[in-house]
Amino acid sequence: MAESWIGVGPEDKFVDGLHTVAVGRRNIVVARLKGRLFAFDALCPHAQGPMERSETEGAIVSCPLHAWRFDLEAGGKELHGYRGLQVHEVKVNDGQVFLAIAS
Amino acid sequence: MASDQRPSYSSIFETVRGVGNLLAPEDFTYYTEIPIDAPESQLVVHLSCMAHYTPHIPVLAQKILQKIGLDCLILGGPENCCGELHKHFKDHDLEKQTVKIAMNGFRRLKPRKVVSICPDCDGVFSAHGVGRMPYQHTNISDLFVEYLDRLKVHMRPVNMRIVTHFHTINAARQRDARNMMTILHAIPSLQILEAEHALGPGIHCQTLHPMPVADQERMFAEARDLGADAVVVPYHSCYRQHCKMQLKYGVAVHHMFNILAMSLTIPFSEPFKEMRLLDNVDAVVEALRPRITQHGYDEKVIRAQITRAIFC
Repeated sequence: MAESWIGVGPEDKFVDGLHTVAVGRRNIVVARLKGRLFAFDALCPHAQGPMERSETEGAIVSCPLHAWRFDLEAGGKELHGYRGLQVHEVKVNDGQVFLAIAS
Repeated sequence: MASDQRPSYSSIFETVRGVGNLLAPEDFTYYTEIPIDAPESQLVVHLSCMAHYTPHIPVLAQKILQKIGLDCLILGGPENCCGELHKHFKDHDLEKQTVKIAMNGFRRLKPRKVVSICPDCDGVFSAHGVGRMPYQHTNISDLFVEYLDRLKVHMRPVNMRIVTHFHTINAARQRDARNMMTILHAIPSLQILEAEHALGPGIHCQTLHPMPVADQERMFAEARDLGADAVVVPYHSCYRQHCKMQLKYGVAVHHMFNILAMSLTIPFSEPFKEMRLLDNVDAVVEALRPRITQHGYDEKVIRAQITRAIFC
C-alpha cells in the first residue's frame, strides 16, 4: 500500500453517499456508508461500469451495469467470486480527508 | 440511480443468479466472461437474463444445434445483459454502455452468427446498431429455419394436437411467428389446430406487461375445447406466464423447442414448470432445499427471489 497521502477535501464535503474525486488521472469514489468513509476505483473491474453510480447496501456496493457486488469492509472482495474492486486507504486529519492510492 | 419506487438492478440480477443457479441442470455450462484463451466460435447463443429461470430452453437450443452438427458457445448471466433492463428504467446512458459491452463481447469471439432467444434482446441489439457488427445477429428461430433440412433428417413423429401462441406487434415478431410455424409444420404427425384466441399482446408475454388474464383464460379454454394437448409458445417469457394454466385447464404448456426436441428424440426436463406446478412457494423451497444448501443461500432471501421469479 502506498504511504503517500493525498488530500481530497474537507470531511464535511463527504456526506452520506457516493462522491467522485479526481486524483491525478484516476477517478476515485469516496463513499460515506454507515457513517464510515471508504474509497475505491470509479470503474468496475468487470467492464468499467460507473461505480460512482453504485447501488449500496450497508458497506456493499454494486455496479449498476451487471451487479457485481463488492464488500468494502472485506477489502473490495467480489461476492460472487469474481475480481475484486480496488479499494484505497482513507484517513481524516484535522477535518481533511486523505487517500492513499493503491497502484 | 435506483429509487425507492423500483427494484434495484442488484436485486433483479441477484434473483437471476440465485434462481438461475437453483434451476440449472448440472450439465448446463455457459460463460459469463469470455476466457482469454477461448477459441473463436462460429456460433454464439446469447442467453438473456430472464431466460435463466427457464434453463431447459437454452439447454435444448444447444442440444438441437449439436444434433445437426453445430457447435455453439453460450454467453449468459447478468454479465451479458443486453441493456433492456436499463432501458426499462430509463437509464439510457447505462443501457448504451451495457449493450455496447455485450456486443463487443460477442465480437471478440469472431463469430459468424450470434443468436438470441429473447425478443427484448433482439430489439435492444437492433436499436443499438448490431447490424453494423461483423457478425450476423438473429433470433434463433431464423437459424432453425435455415437448417430445417438438416433437422428434418432427424425428425420423428410427434403425435400431439397443439395450439400455437404467438406475437405479431412488429416485423421481427411476425418473422419469429412464421419461423415457429415453419418448424412445427415440418414435424411429422404434429397437428396444429386453428385457434382464434392465441395472439399474445406486445412483443411477448412478460412480468411487467403480461397477457391480460381474460385473454389468457380465453386462449386456454379454446385450446381445451379444441381438444389440444398443448399450447406451444415461442418465447421463454410466454412460457413463464402460461405454465400455471396447465393446472386449471389440463392443457400442457410447451416452448417450441420442447416440441422440436421431442421430434428429435432429445430428452429434457423442465425445472421451471415442475416448480411452478407445485403452486406453492413452500413446496418449491422444500423441493430445492438440497441446492439451496449446496449454494449456501440465505433462505429468506432465496424464498423472496423464488416468489418473484417463479410465481410472478
